[in-house]
Amino acid sequence: MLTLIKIELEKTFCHKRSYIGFLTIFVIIVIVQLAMYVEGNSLLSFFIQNLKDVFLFEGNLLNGYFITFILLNSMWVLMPFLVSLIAGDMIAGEANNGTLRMILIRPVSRRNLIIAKFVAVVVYVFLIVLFLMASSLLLGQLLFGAGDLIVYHGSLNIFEESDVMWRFIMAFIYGFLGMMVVASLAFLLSVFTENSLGPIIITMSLVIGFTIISNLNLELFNYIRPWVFTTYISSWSLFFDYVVDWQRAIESAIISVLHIFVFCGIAIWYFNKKDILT
Amino acid sequence: MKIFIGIFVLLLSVNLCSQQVNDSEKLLEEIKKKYEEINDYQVKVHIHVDIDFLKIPDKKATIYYKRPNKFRMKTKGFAMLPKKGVNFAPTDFIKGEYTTISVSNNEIIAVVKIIPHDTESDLILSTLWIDIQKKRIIAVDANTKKAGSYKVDLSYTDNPFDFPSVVNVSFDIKEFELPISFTGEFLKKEIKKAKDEETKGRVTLSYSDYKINEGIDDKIFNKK
Repeated sequence: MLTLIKIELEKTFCHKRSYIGFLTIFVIIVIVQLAMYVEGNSLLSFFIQNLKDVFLFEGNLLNGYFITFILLNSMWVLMPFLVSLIAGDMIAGEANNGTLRMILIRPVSRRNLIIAKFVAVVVYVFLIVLFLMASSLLLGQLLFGAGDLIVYHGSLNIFEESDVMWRFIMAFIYGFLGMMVVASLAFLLSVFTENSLGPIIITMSLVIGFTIISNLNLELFNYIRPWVFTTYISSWSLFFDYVVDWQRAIESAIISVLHIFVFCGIAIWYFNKKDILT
Repeated sequence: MKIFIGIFVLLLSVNLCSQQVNDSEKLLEEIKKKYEEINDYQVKVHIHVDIDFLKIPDKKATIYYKRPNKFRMKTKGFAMLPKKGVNFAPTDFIKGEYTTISVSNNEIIAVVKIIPHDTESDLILSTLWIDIQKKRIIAVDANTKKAGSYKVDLSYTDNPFDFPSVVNVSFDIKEFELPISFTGEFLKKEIKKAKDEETKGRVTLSYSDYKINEGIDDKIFNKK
């Protein structure tokens, strides 16, 4: 099994397209950080203009943590696309290239093969989320330094520097879970098709469509909202409430993990019984 | 005869009013005189902010003041101090030229209204509650042109030069609006309050460890 996982990881990271995500994230981070370096103070002033009329400020809120939070908020469209790009290609890509039948000739079970591919997806998603975290935080600290964090989430919240890092760590863990749900969905859809473009487009359509449902404040959608997975993939932001709602956070984590298991489970079941014709 | 009595009563009341004005002015001058010896001070402050839409932990800072108007607050991280009502020069409530009106004057508390003569002044009218015996301001209710109204309550213990120990500042503040795309929330989850709606804010400042007239280097007031 370990050999299978190793092979799948090599295959994943040998493809140049696997690095598109990392490169894109890095370029966006650099551009945003440089832009904030030039104009960040005026943006922050706009952010807190009402308070500036009433209060004298001491200290610097334009720091690496603030920039990282802005980047996290901005990446929610891009990250699902980047992970579904890889996950959606896992099975469908091999089928399209004609290599899937050749792999299955070898004495490995279908179940082990698909699990190994799924593990490769997990590793990829983990690395890309970790890369987002590390590069935004490190570059932010380098350019802007550390300090207290100001965010708007329900209310205008200001966190002391000592109270920030654990929130980012939890946010990234939850971000990883959220992206794994998307990746699992793309992986499942990949099992059904022989063209990797289909799973990617369908996954993104579902993510965007369900996000609209999750966020529109209509009473009809209140009944649908608890059942759509996109309600939970933005749970990382719960850790930027002044008082974290741990019950809601734990519920979101459980539901996200359940989604991953269900999508992966269906993918394994279907792949096991599927006729491989290409 | 009745006319003479009427004129007499009128003159007496004018005299009494004038006497009260003189008393309140005298009281304010005595308060000013008390702080004239202060050239500089530094003090530790514990800041507690209580505003509906803002969540910030309590902060500790050090305030530096040097005559006539140098001020600096130093803290680790970020802190905020209300502009209104936190007068770093002790006599800032009663500076410049003004007219006083004594509203009430029992033996303990004097209530004095102050109208600044300077038409450019942001302050329109302020009401001071003054402890007559101890000659210190215990409350202020001020109305300003730009910044609305605010109230200040001052508590004292045994600080040198009768500096306050606790200052509570209450004010109105407009809730802010942010462009949704800035917060990353592409669609509003909740209906925001009307832009012009104001909410109450309250800041409690607890002062300790006053160091008065010990000399403060001007470099401290230079911001990096």
